[in-house]
Amino acid sequence: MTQPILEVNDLKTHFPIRQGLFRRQTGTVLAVDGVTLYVDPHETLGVVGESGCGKTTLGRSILRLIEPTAGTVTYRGESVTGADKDRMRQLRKEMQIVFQDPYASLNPRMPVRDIIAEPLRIHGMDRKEANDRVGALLGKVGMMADHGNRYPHEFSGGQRQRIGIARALVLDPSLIILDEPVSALDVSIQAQVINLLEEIQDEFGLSFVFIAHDLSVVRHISDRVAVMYLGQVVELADRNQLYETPAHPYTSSLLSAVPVADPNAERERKRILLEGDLPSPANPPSGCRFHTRCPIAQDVCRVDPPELREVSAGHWAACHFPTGPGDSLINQVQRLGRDLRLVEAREH
Amino acid sequence: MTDLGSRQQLEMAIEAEAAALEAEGLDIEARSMRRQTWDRFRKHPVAVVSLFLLLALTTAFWVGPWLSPYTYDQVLAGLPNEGPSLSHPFGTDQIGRDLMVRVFTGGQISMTIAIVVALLTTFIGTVIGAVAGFFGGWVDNVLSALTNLFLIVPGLLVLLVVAIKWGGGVYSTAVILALLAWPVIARVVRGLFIQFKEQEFVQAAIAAGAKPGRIMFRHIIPNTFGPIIVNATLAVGAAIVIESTLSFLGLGVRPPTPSLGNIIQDYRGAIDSDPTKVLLPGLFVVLITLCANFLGDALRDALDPTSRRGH
Repeated sequence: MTQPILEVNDLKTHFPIRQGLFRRQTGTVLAVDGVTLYVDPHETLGVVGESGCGKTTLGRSILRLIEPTAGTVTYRGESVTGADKDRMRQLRKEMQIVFQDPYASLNPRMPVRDIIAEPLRIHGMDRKEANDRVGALLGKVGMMADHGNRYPHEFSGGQRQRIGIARALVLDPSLIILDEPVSALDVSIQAQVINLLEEIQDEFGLSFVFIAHDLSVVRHISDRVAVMYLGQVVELADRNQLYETPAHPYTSSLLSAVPVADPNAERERKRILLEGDLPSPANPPSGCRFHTRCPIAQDVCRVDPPELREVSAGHWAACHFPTGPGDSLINQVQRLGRDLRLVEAREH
Repeated sequence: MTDLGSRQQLEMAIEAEAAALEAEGLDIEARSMRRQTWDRFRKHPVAVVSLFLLLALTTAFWVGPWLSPYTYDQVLAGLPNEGPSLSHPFGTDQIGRDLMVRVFTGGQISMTIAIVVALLTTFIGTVIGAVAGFFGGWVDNVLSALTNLFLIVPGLLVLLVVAIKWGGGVYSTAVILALLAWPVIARVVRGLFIQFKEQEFVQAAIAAGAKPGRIMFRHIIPNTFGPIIVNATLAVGAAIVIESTLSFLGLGVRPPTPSLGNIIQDYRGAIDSDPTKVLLPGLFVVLITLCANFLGDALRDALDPTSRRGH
């Protein structure tokens, strides 16, 4: 077995809630609360979940853009969370990030060439050499070398995202965290950017952590997928396993919301509607965090938080009553004699 | 999943996109930031007029007295309270001094005070706001408390007391005004720093290994220039008015040194008999303030690279 390029072990990132005149801490937001995962070389790990489930915080905590509260991050066997400032600066060459918002992620006052060259300049390359490399990279991401003289606002959203990708590539990293890199783009442009990401992954032998809320996009690009709910990973499996035989009821409900391409199947498709809203990560439910919205929750779920366990080879789920092949969520609901709110997908 | 497009299709799409952008009015050639700023500024005709008017007034205030055969404190025997004439276009004052030279010199002094106030408040406000916003934590707490302390001080009261003790000079008046006005800019700048610190392009720089100095000077400060310059411009307008008010109340620049405010004070009794002598310096106060405000508004647009107004 190869050594994973990235290992995350019981990572927690908590934010204090301070209120009042003396900024007393009155609570804690458990944005990321005990996440364990790994990424193999040349692999894409998809991370999906609703807004507010902590996936963005997870990505930034891995890079220590936000200091994690507890747990460890290990890059090729070396501790990232334990690295001092100088070492961290070196490690940053290996791990880069592409942001969601192509408008906010580029400094509006710097020409594109300087934006892409900046990481090189920070690490001590002279201007001429850096500019040559930027010219080559602009070509790689499908832009022209003379685009480098322009400013970010002169480009479209898709082009800006290419610029962001070029900046992430310039230091020749091994791992890139893609934080919803296509959610802000038009669907037609999304496809172009996804293709570009796949091309550069092959060419540079990159590993990706692909954070998104769009399940179709994640399915297309990922090798394995982690599903997050309220700061925790609830299911982690190979892409096909996860999409075909989800083990966690939350995954099942998410998947039921994905449109299918076959019009006949789409006509038949039913959405599983979850009851209630996403609980606050400052005050997560007891036991299994999903029990408040789970259609098959039982007494044990309210008290006992389930561990992430392997339900079949390489397929992990944090659920006391995992669903499986031949035992779908709908089956389980019927067995329990409960109602499941199914709605015609087309109405939504 | 279908293959979403080959490399060639991708390049075609990009070219189509570039063509669409050009159709929107983007030049094929890259324009420098400075050029783009000027192009955006030109879209505001009132501001362009204001800029030239301000330059004209400034030139008149500084060159006029130097060209004039009279000085501002030269008493011309036997010529008090003259009306406008060829040799004295604004007339003369109660004791026979040429009023045009006094108004222009007064304008020069008022403008000097306004510019010094704008520079000082901008400098103090920017440094304090930047440090508070950038470092956060207890540094921010201390500096914000200080800022708020200055902000709640009743300005006019302090001015009354301080002006009696240290007032009267051109620079002392400017310093007193600046000490009262900097908290406004400090708050603006602190807000900008906090806002930009969280921006993704700053996060990207940190992810690339940038040290705090680079983040501050390469990423945050250049983006705060626009709002800071706008505030400085608006401060010029405000300072002219406040200086005039102070001098009018006798708390600002003391005669015989003229300022727009104390010339108005000289003639407030003559508003009925000889209105031009009050209205002329008043007109300059209004003009400078208006121009500064129009200029500030246009700069707000021009200095924001993401502003697409007029495209």
